[in-house]
Amino acid sequence: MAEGSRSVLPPPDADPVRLLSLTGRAVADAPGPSMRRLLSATAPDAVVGVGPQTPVVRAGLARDVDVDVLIPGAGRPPHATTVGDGSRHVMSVPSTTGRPVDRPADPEQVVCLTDRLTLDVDPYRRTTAVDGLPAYAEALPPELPDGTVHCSTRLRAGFRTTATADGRTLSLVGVGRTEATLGVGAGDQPDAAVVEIYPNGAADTTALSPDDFGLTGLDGVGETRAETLRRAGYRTVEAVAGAPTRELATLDGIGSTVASGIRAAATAQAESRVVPTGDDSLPNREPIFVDIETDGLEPSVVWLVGVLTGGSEGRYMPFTEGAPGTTDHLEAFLAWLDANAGGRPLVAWNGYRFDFPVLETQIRQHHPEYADLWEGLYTFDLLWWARRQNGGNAALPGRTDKLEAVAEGLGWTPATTGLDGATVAAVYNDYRRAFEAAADPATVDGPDWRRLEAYCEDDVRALAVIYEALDDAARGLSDGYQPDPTGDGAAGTQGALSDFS
Amino acid sequence: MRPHDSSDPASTGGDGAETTTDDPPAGGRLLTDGGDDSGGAVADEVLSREALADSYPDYRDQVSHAEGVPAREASTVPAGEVLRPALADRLERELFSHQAAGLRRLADGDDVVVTTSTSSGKTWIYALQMARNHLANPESTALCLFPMKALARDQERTLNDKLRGDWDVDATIGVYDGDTDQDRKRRIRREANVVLTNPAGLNVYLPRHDRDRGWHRFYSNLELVVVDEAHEFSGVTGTHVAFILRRLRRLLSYYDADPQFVLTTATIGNPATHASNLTGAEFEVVDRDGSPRGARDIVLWEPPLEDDDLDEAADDPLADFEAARASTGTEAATVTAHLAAHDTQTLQFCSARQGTEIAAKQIVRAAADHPLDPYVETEPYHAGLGKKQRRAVENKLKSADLDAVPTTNALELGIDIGSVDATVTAGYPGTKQSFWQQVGRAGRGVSDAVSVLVGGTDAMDGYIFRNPGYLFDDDTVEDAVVSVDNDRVYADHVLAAAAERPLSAGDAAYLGDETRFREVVSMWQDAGVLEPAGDLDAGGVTYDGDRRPQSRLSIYGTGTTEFRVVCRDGDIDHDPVARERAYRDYHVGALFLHAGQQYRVVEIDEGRRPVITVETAATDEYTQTMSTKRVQDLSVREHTPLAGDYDLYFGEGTVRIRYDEYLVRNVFGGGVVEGPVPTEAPPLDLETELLWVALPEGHAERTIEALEPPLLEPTARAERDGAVPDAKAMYTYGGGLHAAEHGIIGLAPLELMIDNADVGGLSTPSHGHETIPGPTWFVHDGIDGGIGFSKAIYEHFESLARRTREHVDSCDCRRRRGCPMCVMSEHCGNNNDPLDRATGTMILDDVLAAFEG
Repeated sequence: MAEGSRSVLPPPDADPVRLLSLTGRAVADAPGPSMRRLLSATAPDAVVGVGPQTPVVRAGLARDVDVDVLIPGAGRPPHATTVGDGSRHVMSVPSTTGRPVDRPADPEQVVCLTDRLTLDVDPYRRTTAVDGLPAYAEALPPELPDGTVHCSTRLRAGFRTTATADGRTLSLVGVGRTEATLGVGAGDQPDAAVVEIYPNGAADTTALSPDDFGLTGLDGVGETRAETLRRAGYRTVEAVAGAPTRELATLDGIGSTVASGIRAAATAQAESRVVPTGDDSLPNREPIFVDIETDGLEPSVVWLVGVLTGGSEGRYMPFTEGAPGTTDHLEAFLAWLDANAGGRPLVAWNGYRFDFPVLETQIRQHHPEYADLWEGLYTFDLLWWARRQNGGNAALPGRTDKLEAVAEGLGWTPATTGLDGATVAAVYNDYRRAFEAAADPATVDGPDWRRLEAYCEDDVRALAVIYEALDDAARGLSDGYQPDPTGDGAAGTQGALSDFS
Repeated sequence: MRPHDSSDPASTGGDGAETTTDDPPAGGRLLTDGGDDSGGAVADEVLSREALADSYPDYRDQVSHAEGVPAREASTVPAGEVLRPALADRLERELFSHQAAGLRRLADGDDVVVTTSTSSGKTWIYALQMARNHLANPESTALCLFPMKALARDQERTLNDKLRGDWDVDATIGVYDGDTDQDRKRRIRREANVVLTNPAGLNVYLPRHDRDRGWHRFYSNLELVVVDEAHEFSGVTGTHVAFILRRLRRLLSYYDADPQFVLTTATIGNPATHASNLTGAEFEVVDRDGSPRGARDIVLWEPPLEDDDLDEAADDPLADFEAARASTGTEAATVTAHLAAHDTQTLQFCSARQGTEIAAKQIVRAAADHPLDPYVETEPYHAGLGKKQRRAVENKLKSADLDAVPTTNALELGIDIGSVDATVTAGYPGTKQSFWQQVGRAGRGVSDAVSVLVGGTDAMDGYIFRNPGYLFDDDTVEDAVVSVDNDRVYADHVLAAAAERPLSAGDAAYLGDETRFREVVSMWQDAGVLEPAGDLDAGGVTYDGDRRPQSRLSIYGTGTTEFRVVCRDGDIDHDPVARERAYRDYHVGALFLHAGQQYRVVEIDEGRRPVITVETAATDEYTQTMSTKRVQDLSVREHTPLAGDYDLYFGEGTVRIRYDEYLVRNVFGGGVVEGPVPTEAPPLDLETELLWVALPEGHAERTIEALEPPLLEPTARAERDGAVPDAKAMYTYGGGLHAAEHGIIGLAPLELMIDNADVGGLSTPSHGHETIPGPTWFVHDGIDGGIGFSKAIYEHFESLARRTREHVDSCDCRRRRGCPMCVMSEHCGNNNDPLDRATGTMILDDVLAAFEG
């Protein structure tokens, strides 16, 4: 098997086909408001039904969506849909009628959906193979445009690979769940995912938990409390946000501390803003925002340190690796810190868990002369401060605590699209391998560094936007927000930062 | 048999001033003959023929063998010869020679495995090494792994007392495990010189090596890794521990830390190999015990059998036998009461099915029936008791306020309960090391002690009571089995390692066999859980699966599914259960004994978070699970051709097992109370390792021909069960194959540290595989992927077959259908039908002849 084309970047400003894959189980279990919220938040071009309980997807969503629900392998139509101006086409393969599905004469983009391609991982033979390829290839229409992507509901969302069948090279994308033996490499597979597929074959996958939409998406609210709230008539996040804390506190199993926490979380989501819940202030000195790009979540290389000073509209400085194996960029970053950081907080999102220790390891390994400087720095994890420090200082908008989700919850929009940390890491890995393996590394084309630096820039600017919103809120400057009189900021945030742990 | 490892005597010669006492001569005396003074005085007074005839209720010559183990003088070395004066001056006594030998080896830079006896002061070796390291470099750190949390806490006290108290070494010592609170954990990471934990803990703490300054400090300065009671890490857990330690060593190499290893184990046959399997390093063995001990007597006590009650044609042979034989538990309680009646404080290790609470009652009842009419103060001890209750029993043992304590095997390990005058073991505990650990609990310092083994009903008991020399012969110590060959376990640890630090080609040095490493990495890259764009030779391969793969590793099985065990009406501290065992032993309705308490399974949920729900039970019943089995998809890995078209194979295959029914039996008589009851468990496919013995075509016919009539009469059951042949000739021959298969599995613990529940077998008159022209029997690992048991049996096959043949042929039961002490097994899925000792012996004879060529 060839490795996937995960490192193909979408063309700038390209518009993807947005598929929302949903398990029947999720549709069956989720209360109506959560499902509607999920659909409106993700705005898919088509919904793809996957197992377990696949048939429930179409039946359960009938009244909630105005886009087609496609179920590859199902007997009943629709088996295809067109997107946008009609030149982009999503279709099931093979069709159950046995005939090729009708499609536009000369489509710009085709996305094929199937339930016939599966992954077989055999640890005893030490092999991984895609099963079902010959039959699938046979059922394909003869002509497909470049960039056609083949999506299987029985490959897990986020999985990409290329495979050859019948003389054709197929670009495969998982949009569902796998039964393959992934050992300890896979935890619970998500019940929902948004898969964006670009005309050039680039794909971007975001796993979602339907629980994050609706009441169970509020910190401190699990299924039991959600049911309590619903029975009390609070069926939506907005309803909870509008409820007086003292009334919430009269409900079974909800004390006043929990009530004010829940209400703050609901308010943050409903009103797209941060809601202070604690007494801690942010650092006095002007922050230095940082974000690092690495070769993975358990990295050995930091190839880019993005630095932003002067606030969310301030100056961005990317310290980018010159060539794999070199660390001049780290030294430049450290020298810059040495000259400029004195007493100022170095701010990162989830920095205590990731950016800071990763940088520290790099510094000890490559530039031990800066170890003392590093240890003396004032490092500040904004996520920790907001959600953990002294029980938490703010409720955040956004369905998860991921940086982009929170910043977008505040109305911020990224300048680059179609990239995420995993794709960026894959791009780097691809380049590094070619570079390291080449007889003459100078001949190896680098990736589009400007684009990658711009992606990192988005992240530090998003970080600054959140920081400023928190700072304003903590000073009582945010648009007319009045702390709830009975809430008095004592809310404890119960949710674990599980996305980051 | 494989030669067992031992230290090179020539190299011990250089250890200076030590005076070596050789291990006791194997020859013994029968107590009942009196006179010999090699044994201890206790036994003479209490268990001599006169004493027993005098005061043992209805004594019927149950003592079948007695062996005196003479006292041993200490062999010591002045501390100053081994340690620098600064440290030597702080010791209040000389070192035992094995302690000195261990410390010398460590000073030479070697890794050391210590296999001296229980309470011989093995802890001193690593404690002094910690002290030595600390005095040389106060930043130095040590990591200690224990098989049980309780042991880690016990050793924390001991190390604190020794290092900080007695030796005035300012090292910070802390237990770091699931019970340690967050603040203390933070402090330990920041400051500790010595961290005590367990392998499952280390598995999940490792990934933070570079996310926390404390751990970074700790690993960078790591000079010593201790694995205590390392024999406990065998089988599937051992396999996981082996890879956890390899992951540790791989990470340490990035910190330029290269710690020394000290492993301690009970006596095992292969200490150097076992240590090396567990760690990947090479070891020096320290096994010449320099500690003193008192004389002790070991008495083998055989419960009487009412031969007349045996029914040759019993439909339920297991129950028939058990009903005819005095129960091991009851007999053990009577012996305990007898000892206690003679002011001999006794620890009774309970049998597999006897709860400690039941045993306590039996002891009281036995005391009431005793001619001396003693008052016996007794309380049970088991892990299910609260901490306070346990401490109370420990203290009453030490202060002699208790005369007898029935306990689970939890007390085998080094937990400090002081020592008693005598031990009684109800049924052979499965391994010699376990037996001797129990024996080691008796004897305070150099005072005399006695230990009684009351025979149980299983092939190992049967063998040992006929061949007591086995217990005392140093050349027949079992090997600890650890296999690093299971690819599923390996593949999971490769992912865990990648999540700790990206993989590169050099990691094969720790993660083993370059081809295997590359193939598995490539498999995971193709599957998308390792970065597909990475390259081991160019920049490395990062982890790209779901976060925290370590948290999904189960060290109790080879897959990622493990069942938590929760108790509906109380707490239960039970290790998670792998799927294979869950299906067999924890189906709804199954009864089991854990930490001295009986439980019944009420629900099994195999959802996203698999759970087995149990409730406490108090019955006189146990359950036996029946199964049907198929073996297919065989592939040969190793082949031993024998003479005359006999062949022995080792390889892989798929074993499909249906645990479809179970029987409820009475603990005392063994009779079926209920059943068969359907389990409703789905079939289980094991892709596992197995060996098979392929007999020549026509062997069945030739054997039947040569057999002196009569053939066995098929039981009524045979007619009901399609899997059991009911034509007389095939029934008889099938019984022979089945007996040979059972016999080999039953005696496998003679050579290997193995719970024979961990292997399974199947015998069949024909099988479709090309390597099998005629009848065959299989022995397979009971866990997916295999963990080396059938491989080890394959390697020991000839000697095992020889012992089995003799044992099966000569069993005292003298019955064609055998008994639980030769060929019957309580793990048999077919309710021990058919079985034929006579034909089984002939088949084993043929196989052994083929070995000789």
